[in-house]
Amino acid sequence: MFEISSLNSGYGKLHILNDVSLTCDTGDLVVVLGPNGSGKTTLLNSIFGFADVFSGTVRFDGEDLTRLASNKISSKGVGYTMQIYNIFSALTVSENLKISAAMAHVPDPKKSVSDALEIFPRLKNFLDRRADTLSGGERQMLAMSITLVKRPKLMLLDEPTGGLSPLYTSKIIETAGQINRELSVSIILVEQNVKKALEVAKKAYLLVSGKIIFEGSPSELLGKEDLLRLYLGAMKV
Amino acid sequence: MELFAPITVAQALIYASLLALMGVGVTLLYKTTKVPNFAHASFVTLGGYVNFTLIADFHWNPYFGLPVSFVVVGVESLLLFFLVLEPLRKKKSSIALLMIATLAWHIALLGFLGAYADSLQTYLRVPTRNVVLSHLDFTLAGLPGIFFVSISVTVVAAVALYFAIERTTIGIALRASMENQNLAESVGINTTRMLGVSWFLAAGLAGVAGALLPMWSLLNTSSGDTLIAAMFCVSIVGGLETLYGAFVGGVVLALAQIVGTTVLANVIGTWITGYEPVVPLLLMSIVLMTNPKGIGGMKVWKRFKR
Repeated sequence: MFEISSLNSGYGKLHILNDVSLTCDTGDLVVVLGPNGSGKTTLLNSIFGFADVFSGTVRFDGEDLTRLASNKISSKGVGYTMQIYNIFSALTVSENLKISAAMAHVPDPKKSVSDALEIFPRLKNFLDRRADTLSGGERQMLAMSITLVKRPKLMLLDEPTGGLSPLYTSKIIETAGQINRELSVSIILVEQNVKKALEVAKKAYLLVSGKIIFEGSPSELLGKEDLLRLYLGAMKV
Repeated sequence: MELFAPITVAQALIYASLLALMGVGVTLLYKTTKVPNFAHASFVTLGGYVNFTLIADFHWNPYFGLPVSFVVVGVESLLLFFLVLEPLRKKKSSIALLMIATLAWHIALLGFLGAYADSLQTYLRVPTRNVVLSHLDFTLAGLPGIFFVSISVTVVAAVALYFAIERTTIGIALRASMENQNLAESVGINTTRMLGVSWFLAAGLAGVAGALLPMWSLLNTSSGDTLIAAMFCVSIVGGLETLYGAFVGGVVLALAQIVGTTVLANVIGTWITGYEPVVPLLLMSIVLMTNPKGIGGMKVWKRFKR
């Protein structure tokens, strides 16, 4: 089980998250929604050691991850797919996957890579190509595969559909759901595409101005028309 | 009129080899730590004095001490990295501050080397400044041994560096750390360790260049300082973003500085040789104004990239 308690965090003197608490049970897919600038990326950065935690705790499977170095957090079974700069563009697709598997010390790195490629078979066509030659959707597939080859127990996905076409958006979110169901990987998904995200999520949080203002099931959130209209934009739902 | 003698080209190739060994480290550290490392000058000098000590005190063959210089200078650079730079990086210090820290380390090491040279002179009763060891060199086909050794060492270093960086897991991890440290950390790469590897390699190669220096030129406690402009020039001409560009940059600068100056001396007069040290600065300025990405950053190479 993953649990954040009363988290206050930010960058240097900039305080962004205020008393944020969140839980994700083993095998769940939790979606974090919110308007731009609400602190969603900072939340994931705080979990993964990229932001400064001022107070509060981050615990995963009974272990305290608060203020651990990112590579240590990674070794505890947490994978983070960032929104941008999430692939090594000067490496080939194959090297991107190999290095992630090698560093995760998975028992069989080759199988781990081939399993990830089964989830995103399109990448098989580009294994020897530099990653910066891929399209936006293919890059996002590679970014998720980089995290997936580490066989994480918990995946943090930061707006994986940002800037993608509707076709890729559906594909990426459906694949996140598939990873969650078939591989039993817990997922915390930060997403702007409310409708698609709520279709695959088991639990939803609404983060506004650094504070959690809603916690509940997707159907409960869909019933809160005022919240949807005020913070999430009725058109997207 | 003969514009230059064949031996001038041989001298230029020796100089090119030494510059490449120094410059590739400047580029590597710039790519990994983003710091123009001024301590590279003292890395070269330290390498020279390590080898000189082995030759003068233990009567080693002048070329047997190269691995020792590599390791000693590599370890010394790890002290700089882990004791000074890494704590500053953790405090999110600016690049300018890190650069000044390397300068401070260089000045401190310069003082140490001065004291060491004096102590060595007292202990061994041999001159330890303006040292020339070319009389210990062998000759082959009328050329000094340093010609063959410096070129061989540079070629071996280039090939080994290529395979280490392009073909091994550590090399891929190093390239990943160079490109994006946050992402590298997120996939589990210990980027601090990778930076340490890059400092060890870069400094080690500078140490080897320093160890070879007295076989070709003068060794004194300021040898590195006189070459620092040339090191940065090689790195910039080759391309700061292209690791292997330094090897090309070394050849370009050496030919310009040695062959070019010789030709000019024969054409317009020997007074021009006094301006030879200006060549690296001039070349660096021209490259920065016309092609800031250097030779390695030119579009023509794109077709050779994956």
